[in-house]
Amino acid sequence: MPVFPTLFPGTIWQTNVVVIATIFLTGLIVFVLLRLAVARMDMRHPRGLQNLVEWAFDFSESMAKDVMPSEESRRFVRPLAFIMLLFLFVANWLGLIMTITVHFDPHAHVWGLSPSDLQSAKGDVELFDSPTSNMSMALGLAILVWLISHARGLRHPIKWFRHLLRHPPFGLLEEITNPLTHGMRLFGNIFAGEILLGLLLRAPFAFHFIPWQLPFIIAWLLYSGFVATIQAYVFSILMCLYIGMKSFEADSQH
Amino acid sequence: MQLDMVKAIYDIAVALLLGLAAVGSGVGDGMVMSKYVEGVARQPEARGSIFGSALLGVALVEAFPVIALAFGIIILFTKGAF
Repeated sequence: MPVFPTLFPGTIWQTNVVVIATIFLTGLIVFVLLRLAVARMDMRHPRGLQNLVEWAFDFSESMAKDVMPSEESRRFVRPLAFIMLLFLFVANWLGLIMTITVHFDPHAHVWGLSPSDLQSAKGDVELFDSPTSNMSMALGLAILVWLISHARGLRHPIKWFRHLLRHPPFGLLEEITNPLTHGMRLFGNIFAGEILLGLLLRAPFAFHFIPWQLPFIIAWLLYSGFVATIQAYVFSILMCLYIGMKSFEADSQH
Repeated sequence: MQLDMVKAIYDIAVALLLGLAAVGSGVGDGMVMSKYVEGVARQPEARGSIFGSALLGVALVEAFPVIALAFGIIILFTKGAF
């Protein structure tokens, strides 16, 4: 179980510095990528990075078009779907490219950690990790999507209220389970992949010199890369679906 | 002795959790993939467009088993003996 350096330890405002830093790093990478793509934009002879970004934008637009009921909600969600897809793609891949762990003696008092934390992690402190391998971050994204969908639905209060009570127990139950599974699906996939990779990397050699775990590591890295891409796509398409389910514009067909 | 027994029971609980989660994942993935193969057998040129829906179906079916896997790993490393 990894532990992270924290600020304001012991209080209610205890924050995980590594997750916040990697979120900003992911945002910076996406920003630099998109800036490079439009730097020398050519409408008649597109090449290289501009082609790739245009393909990604078309992909996110067709993905949103399939699941959203009305044209106005599609126009609303278009930038959000594109950026969420890119952001989650980069964020899920960060933990596969590199992880930095520092080892401390389990009785140290460093970086806002207590000795009990260090003992539960056997002295290993994570310094660089996927931001989405943290339950709070993944659930935070899911709560953000929930708030956006309700804020759009509340523009038409009567239809929103009737939609909430359409099938009495299941309407309200869906309000709880949809954001919960939305976030926990992302968290579980990335977290389990990372923990298993750490276990494989730390397993002792057979007969002290045969690295038996090398083919397993390569296979697991490939599978984790595949899962990272798929989970970014699933999160984005479910986000479009949830926002579309609560938008009651005039020309919407539910 | 009591503490070792408690840790051992946590280990057995994690094993039960992961085993049942694997059953659900296997059955669900098998159904989705069998329908995909059937669809491709009927119409081989629709292979690319159905593949996206098949992968989406697998990711949705595997959501709950992978949540169970994450919880099992957390319980194993914080409560069980390792």
